[in-house]
Amino acid sequence: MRREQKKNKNLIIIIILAGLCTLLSFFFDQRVIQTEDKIRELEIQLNDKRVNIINLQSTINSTIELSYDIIKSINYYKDRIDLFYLYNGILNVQVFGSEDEKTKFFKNIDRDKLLKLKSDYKRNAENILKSYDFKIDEIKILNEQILKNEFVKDILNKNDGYEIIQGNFDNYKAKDKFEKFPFDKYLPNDELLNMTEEEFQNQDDYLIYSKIRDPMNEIDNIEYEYWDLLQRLKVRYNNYFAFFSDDLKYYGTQKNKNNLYILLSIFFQILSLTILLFLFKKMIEQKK
Amino acid sequence: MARLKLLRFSLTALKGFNKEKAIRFINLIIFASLFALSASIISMYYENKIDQIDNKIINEETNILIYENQIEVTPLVLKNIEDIFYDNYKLEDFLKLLELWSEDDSSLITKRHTVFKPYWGFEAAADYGHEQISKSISDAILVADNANDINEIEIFALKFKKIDNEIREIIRIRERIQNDRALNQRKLFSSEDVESAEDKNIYYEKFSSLNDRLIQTLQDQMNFLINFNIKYFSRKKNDTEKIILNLEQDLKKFSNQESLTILIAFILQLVVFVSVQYFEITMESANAKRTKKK
Repeated sequence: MRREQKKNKNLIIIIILAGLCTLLSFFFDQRVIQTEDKIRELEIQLNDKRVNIINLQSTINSTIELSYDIIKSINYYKDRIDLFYLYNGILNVQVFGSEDEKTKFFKNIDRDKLLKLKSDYKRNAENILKSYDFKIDEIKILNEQILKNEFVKDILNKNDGYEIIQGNFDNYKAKDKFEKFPFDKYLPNDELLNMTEEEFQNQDDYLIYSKIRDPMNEIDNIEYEYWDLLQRLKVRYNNYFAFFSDDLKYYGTQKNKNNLYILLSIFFQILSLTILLFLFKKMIEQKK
Repeated sequence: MARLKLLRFSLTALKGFNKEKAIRFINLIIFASLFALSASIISMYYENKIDQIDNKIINEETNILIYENQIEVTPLVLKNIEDIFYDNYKLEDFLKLLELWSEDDSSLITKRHTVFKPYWGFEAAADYGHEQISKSISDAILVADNANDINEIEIFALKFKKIDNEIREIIRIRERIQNDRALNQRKLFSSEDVESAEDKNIYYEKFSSLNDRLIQTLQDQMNFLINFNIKYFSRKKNDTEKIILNLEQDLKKFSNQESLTILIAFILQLVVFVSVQYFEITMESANAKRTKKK
């Protein structure tokens, strides 16, 4: 025979409450799982942003250093090639020129010594141009490293006007241009004074000198491209850093939310057990 | 087998339990469950505190990235600027002697070598220093977190502004000198004349005062880098390390307190759970007995 249980309104309400609390506990458990997924994503994003800050920091540093290194070293090479061109011309006058053309400073110096000095200058100039070509290779490699950076790639893709940075650095090399340089070319004063500027610039030694010197001036302009790139990188760096603390705050809010869900889940779990205790209490009280 | 034992235990227990005692026991467990609820709330409070401290530590550690970068880079920048001085002074003495020696042979050593050429090295170094200082000011603003920092940055920003104005002024004068020369050359070209060696020397000589101003600017930049970059960022790094140490101590304290609270909450919850299970089995077995009798 089926036992007839006396319907008690209070007991039913308590049972419903206990069930509701258990359901709420399950619901908040689910929310915890979902929020934890979100927190994991945020952690990855925060880590990425931190890596990006470090990445931008090192790219900015290397861009500033490379830009300064290029200007400093190219200035040095320009200076050396200018001095060679000037002093080789002066020595040619002292060695091959007439007595009137010779300057006081060299008059008492032995001709052989001057020839030796000329050959030293020639050797030095050759070595300097070799070293200049190596420097261009070095700049090319360092520049490639900067170009490989994702932020730099993005800036270059979105903006025009980075011709030197993206161009062929071999064009700036001296290579074998110096081989045909007329080291012993002597231009008498009469001829020189009667020459127009155009005629002077069409001299074979001047043409070779210009072919080496002009690309040095061109590569020097890389400074402006790096400066422009640097300003854009700095804006990104500042943004990443400024928004990092905001992201961190959002991450903190999500974690607090997650803790609240955990709390609510445990709270309702304990509450459902407590309600069950109330249920048993009621049942015992009703027991005859 | 274990279930049967539990059933037997619950039946025995029920026999010895009267209604009043059972209610008193339940009240006691309800009271314990309230403690369990409080303990869980307290543990969550600690967990929130720990998360906040964790976030602060991450934030401070990110600031340290900036301090360390500035502390590492500044000596290199100082060295690069110093090199310009050393290289210049090393060569300048020698060139000036040679210039004096070959006074009549102006083509040998001219103002081009002693004045004009060094100018470009100084200007490049000043630009380089300017770029580094501008970055350090912007970094300092990014990590400033109190009024004292802002005040200090403001004082140095004014110094930077002064240096910046000086560089701009020098470049403006240099451009004017170059433009004047270009105009002069244009005039000479139209009159089919060429610039004399003396004119060239006068042109180069005009850079002499600019060189002096640039050298002073470079020294100001070096002072700035030493007094601001090294001192400010080192102090900030030390302060931040102390903050992190304090935060880590707080973290440890809260973590221990949280562990204890969680343990208490767990024990109380376990007691509540076992009691609920006990009553469930007791009630069920009593109901089953009654059904059998009927």
